[in-house]
Amino acid sequence: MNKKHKEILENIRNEFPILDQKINGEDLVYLDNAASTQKPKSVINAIKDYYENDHSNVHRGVHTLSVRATEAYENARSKVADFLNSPNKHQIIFTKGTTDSVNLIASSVTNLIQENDEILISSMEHHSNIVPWQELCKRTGAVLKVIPINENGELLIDEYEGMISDKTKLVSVVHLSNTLGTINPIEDIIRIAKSYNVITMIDGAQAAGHFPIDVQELDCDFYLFSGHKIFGPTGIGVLYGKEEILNKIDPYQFGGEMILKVTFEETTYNDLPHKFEAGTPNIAGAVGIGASIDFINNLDRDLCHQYEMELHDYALERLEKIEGINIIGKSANKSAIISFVIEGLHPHDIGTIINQKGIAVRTGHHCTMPLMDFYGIPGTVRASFSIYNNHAEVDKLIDAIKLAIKMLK
Amino acid sequence: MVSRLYKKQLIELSNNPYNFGKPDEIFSTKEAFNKLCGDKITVYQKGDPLTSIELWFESVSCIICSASASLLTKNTEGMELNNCIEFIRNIETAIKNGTLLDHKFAENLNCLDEIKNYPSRTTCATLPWTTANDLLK
Repeated sequence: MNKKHKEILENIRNEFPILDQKINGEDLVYLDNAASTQKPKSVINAIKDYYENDHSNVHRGVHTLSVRATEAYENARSKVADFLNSPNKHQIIFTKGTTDSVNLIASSVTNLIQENDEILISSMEHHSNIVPWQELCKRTGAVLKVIPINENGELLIDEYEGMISDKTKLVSVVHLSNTLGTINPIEDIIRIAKSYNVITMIDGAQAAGHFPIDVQELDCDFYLFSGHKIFGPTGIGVLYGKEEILNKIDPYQFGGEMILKVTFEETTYNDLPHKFEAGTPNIAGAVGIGASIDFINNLDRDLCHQYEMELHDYALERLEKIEGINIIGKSANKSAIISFVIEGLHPHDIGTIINQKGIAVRTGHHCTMPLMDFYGIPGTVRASFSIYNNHAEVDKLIDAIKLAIKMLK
Repeated sequence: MVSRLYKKQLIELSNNPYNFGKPDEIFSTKEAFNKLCGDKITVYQKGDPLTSIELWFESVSCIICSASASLLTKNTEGMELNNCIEFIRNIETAIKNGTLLDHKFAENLNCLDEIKNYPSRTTCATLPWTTANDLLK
């Protein structure tokens, strides 16, 4: 990495005001980016500016503020559409987040699922991509099947090919595992599913902030992600869907905004995307996610990805030298997430002690309890990196872990 | 300071827990999970609780939880059932409210007092007591 690149990355860090603070008297080292990324000034200011100048309710209002709010909201939708290379902006549905997006699909596809149909998910799914499908299976009598992984945390594609059949109606797989850092071969997963005419849903909560997504090239039916993991606000998420299937499935919630005509006898539903956006939406959240996409679009994404992986490799090299450490997730194709356990120590105890040194990591099962069962552990310590982290922070993490081991053993 | 939380006594209790394991003559069993992290604890009553309390436990848990469970089994041993239930409820409340030192409980319980400064870890300390209460009530 040359001097110019270093300057670029230092400037990026300066865009995040929250990082400039002490925790327990120590400089904050924020390594919990897989849970939620921090927000640049541009996103914070966009939300503030919206509330200070443009806020009103969207759609249907004829006054100036309502027009401005509607423009801000719909502009954000256009930005998301471009971000995913969606063919149309009306194929972008705003939701509360990835979990809400999965729930929307799992609820709305009910009319397409019958008894003994099969839904496929993988062993490394977040609870949000397990529980909604369990509920769908309860409602319909469909069967949930789980694609296995190997010890490295890699999906067994051959097993997947053997599992998929004419009975399979939907495959829902995570793009980038929040616990393992594994990047799944979703191109192959989608291609195989398509050969059986199976609906495909990709959970892109972790992936969307790290590398470009092209839904047309992927050819998936649904792609989802959350605002707060791509430097945007919480409470806003995205569901991209193919037009044909979005028109075929039922609305998720009912009320204002999602209708064209209502009488006491019957209701005609609105067109896309409004059919899936009942009630007043999270307008400021949409403005925020739009600003976060602007922020990302101004980055050199290849440089950022290269830098995150450099931090990952440096941290991994240093962590592997710690006695008793076991890295959970050693996929050949991986992102900047490292999960680990240390023999004889509980992740929560490590997390509490290193927090004393100002270091924020996530500890526990990361909402992937079946994955923890696979590895026979209650949880892990997870360090997840973003573009504003640096090598000195990795060194502080290593020193703090060594301190925890010394204190607890 | 985090060293006040992870006192030597607490680590000792976790490393050498009292009445750890599955006893013979199990009268009743209660299993519970820490919803924050997925840790699991099983509390057993050995023998008839109307005769005498003798709690045992098994857990996959952090230092705080296993040390707290060890203090539970040690401090309740030989108690009469109703007194034991009241004692367990008082300790659970005192941990939650951060008032352990305001009462004249057994001195060995004082090592759990610092948990009041770590609200995200309170459940780790209370889980054994909550589970025991559910077991005996």
